[in-house]
Amino acid sequence: MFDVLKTIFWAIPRGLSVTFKYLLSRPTTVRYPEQKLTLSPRYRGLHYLERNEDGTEKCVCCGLCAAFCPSGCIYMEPTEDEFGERYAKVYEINELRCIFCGYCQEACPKEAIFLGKEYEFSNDRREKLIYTKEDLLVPLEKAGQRM
Amino acid sequence: MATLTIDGKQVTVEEGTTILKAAEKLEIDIPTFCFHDKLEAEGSCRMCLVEVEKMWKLQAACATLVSEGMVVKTDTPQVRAARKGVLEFLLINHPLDCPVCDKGGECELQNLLFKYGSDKSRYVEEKRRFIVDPQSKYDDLAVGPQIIRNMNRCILCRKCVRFITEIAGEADLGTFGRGSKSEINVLPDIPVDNPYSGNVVEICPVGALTSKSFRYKVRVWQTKATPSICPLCGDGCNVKLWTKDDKIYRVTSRRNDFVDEGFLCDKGRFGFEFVNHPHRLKQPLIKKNGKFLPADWEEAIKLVASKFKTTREQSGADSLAGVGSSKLTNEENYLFQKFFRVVMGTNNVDHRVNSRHLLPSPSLKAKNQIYSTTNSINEIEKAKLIFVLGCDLLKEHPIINLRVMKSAMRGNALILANIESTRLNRFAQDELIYKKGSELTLINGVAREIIKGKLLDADRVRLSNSEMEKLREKVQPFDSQKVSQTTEISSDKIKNFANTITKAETVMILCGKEIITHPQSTEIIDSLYDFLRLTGHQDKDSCGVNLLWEDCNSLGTLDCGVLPDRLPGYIHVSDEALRKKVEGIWNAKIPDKPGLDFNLLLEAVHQGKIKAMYIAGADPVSEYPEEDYVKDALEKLDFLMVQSIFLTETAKLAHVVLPGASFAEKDGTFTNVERRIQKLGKAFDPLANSKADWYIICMLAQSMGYNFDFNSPAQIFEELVRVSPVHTKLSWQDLNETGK
Repeated sequence: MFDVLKTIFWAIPRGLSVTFKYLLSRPTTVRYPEQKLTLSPRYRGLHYLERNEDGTEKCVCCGLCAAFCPSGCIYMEPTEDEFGERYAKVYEINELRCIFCGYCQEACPKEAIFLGKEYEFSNDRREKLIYTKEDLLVPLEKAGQRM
Repeated sequence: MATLTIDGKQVTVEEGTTILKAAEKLEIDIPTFCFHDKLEAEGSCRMCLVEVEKMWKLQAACATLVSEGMVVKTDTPQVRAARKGVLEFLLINHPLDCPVCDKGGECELQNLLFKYGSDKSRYVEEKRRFIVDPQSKYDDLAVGPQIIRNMNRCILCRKCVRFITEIAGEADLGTFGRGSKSEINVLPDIPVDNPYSGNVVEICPVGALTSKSFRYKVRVWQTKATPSICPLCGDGCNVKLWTKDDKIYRVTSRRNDFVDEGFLCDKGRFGFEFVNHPHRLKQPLIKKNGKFLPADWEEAIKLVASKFKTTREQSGADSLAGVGSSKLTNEENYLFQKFFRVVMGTNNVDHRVNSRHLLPSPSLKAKNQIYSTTNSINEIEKAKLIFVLGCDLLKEHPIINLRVMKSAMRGNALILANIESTRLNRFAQDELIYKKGSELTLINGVAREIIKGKLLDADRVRLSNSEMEKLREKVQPFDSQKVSQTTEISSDKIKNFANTITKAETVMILCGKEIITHPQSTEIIDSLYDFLRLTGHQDKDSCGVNLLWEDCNSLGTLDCGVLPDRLPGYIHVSDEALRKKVEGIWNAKIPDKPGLDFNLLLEAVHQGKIKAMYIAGADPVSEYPEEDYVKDALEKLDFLMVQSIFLTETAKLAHVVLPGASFAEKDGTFTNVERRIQKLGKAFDPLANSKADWYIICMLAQSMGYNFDFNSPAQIFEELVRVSPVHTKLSWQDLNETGK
């Protein structure tokens, strides 16, 4: 009986000591969106398609990313240009389905697709979350420099 | 026979077999690049090196013949090192452009490297390039209308060159240069455009030769391969359809040694675009005020059924007629004629729309005489003399043409008789160019020459005395002067021909379209049989008269009884006993009066006796020799329903058009020229709102108050087997691999 009372007696100040400790320390909550976290260098966000230094697309539409993709969210159709060079006529990623595992980046033999740091791309329309090649390609002025 | 040991297992094979073949028998895998079953062994790639005891160097398994007591090892450290070395050497100059290369995913080099090669390269220097255009960084060169060459990827196995020279018998692809500068190329301004050129793309182990039509369209691992049959001629080549999302991307061969030996002609390989053509019919059309309006199935079927019903009630069953097609499957044709005989109650059903001169329907007993090939395709190789009459084999039957060429290249005699010179004459001992229409004179002239010139060996003649006398009388008027005048062939040539054909050991006669559509076709075929009996070439192996039917299922359509006077299996409608048997299976009454064939049908339409017609798959307006005559007739009909995959000229005249399915969208069987029944494979569901033809017929029967209780072509085929004496002993399962 006495043992039980002793445990209860000591438990209250011990628990409260944790509460008082955090009451006095700085809060860990980040006030998003005013404040943002620094992301890990290995963070996997929205995909982007890299360009060569001369501004041409790196992707040759080999289909390996789509073959690896565990959620099957990549769709592509290859075609050839006037020089007989293979490129993607259609390249779509369904970001709703994507699980951001990064296998596409891993599989790409041309180092054309990367998972970037962008994570703010919510939308009120589902169709808009199917990203086309135009959405995914990096802007021309940023060609050649890894984001 | 020689017994040898491979990897500790004993095997006995014939003398002259290679180690590779012996290992194949034991199911031991030896990797190869330059080896192809149908080509001479070259031994240039060195991939198949194996260790043979008592030989101090590794031997190429594809080129080393077995001998008694030989001990072969295919998996020793030395062999593995050799394979690794060979692959490393091949990769010195092979670019690592697999992501761009069309072969990626089914590349022999990729696969073998993965299995036997090293994971890194020690080569650091620049790779060799065969620069085609200095401006461009891609070294692709179009060497033919369908073929693109990228020499950088080539490993010089020379299979393409060997195929072109050994199998296709052409010389438009060759090896130029020496050593590391060797290249596969064409002569300037002479592209590869022989009708078998597509095969080089398929047999190329790497991506050096790619086809324009498939290139950069889709990745092979994204596609599904469905085994099927090529529908473009009567040969019935086995194919694989490579499809993705209801679209055919390419067609490749599926080796069947009874038919195609693993090769396809370019027509079959590249002629599949019609399946996904944008002009395909997508839904039923009903003509209202001269304009086609889309309708749904229920409405269309109801309309057709009520029209047929009222016509039958008002003008009798014989005012209805049906036209089937030799491009539909056996099951559909069987169902079509059953629909007319059972549901409509008439025998007015035919499919022979492409000629004014119809061969008579054969009787059951004589079925091997007129309506069939007496020999199999494989027998062509064994015939000592092949006589091709009225047939441009290359255009009509490209794969049989390959066999004939193979036979001629092996030293068997080949004689052509055509109205104009054909490409095959390079291999022919003699070519007779006769005037169109004079075939009968030619054959009888030769027969007279044989009798007159006493060329005959009395033991070999298979004619009785009275028959001989009859024949002598028949050929009497065809003296050599008259024959050479009518046929425009010199009498010397005819004499020569008579001489050769009597002396030959075995004679096989191949007749083409020219004979089948000839006004005197029956007489010609009879004369040819007399001719064979006269020269003693009857009832022997690889001897006989073979009619090469044009369409993919010409023979099958005949067998299935889409004929006005014959039930399936050539049972005559007036044959009481056999008809009763069929009636028992069908559980219905069959009219015993023969119907009208297509020519008589047209006449009857013009006379107003036929009121309504149902055309399934056929296009008589463009196929019949007299277009206006057919058009006028079809316009006179009260009601015309056409079932087709395109809005053909015939379909434009119809009141209701129902969209059928192409060969890729349904199951079924085709019967090829040698009466081999082979299975189609359904690659995807009928496009848009179209339906398989057999299903449409079932729906129609249903709405006319008759239950056709079939869920699949397999069930229809099983019933066909029960009904038809030609198809007995077959079952749907038996047809799986090579057909029967």
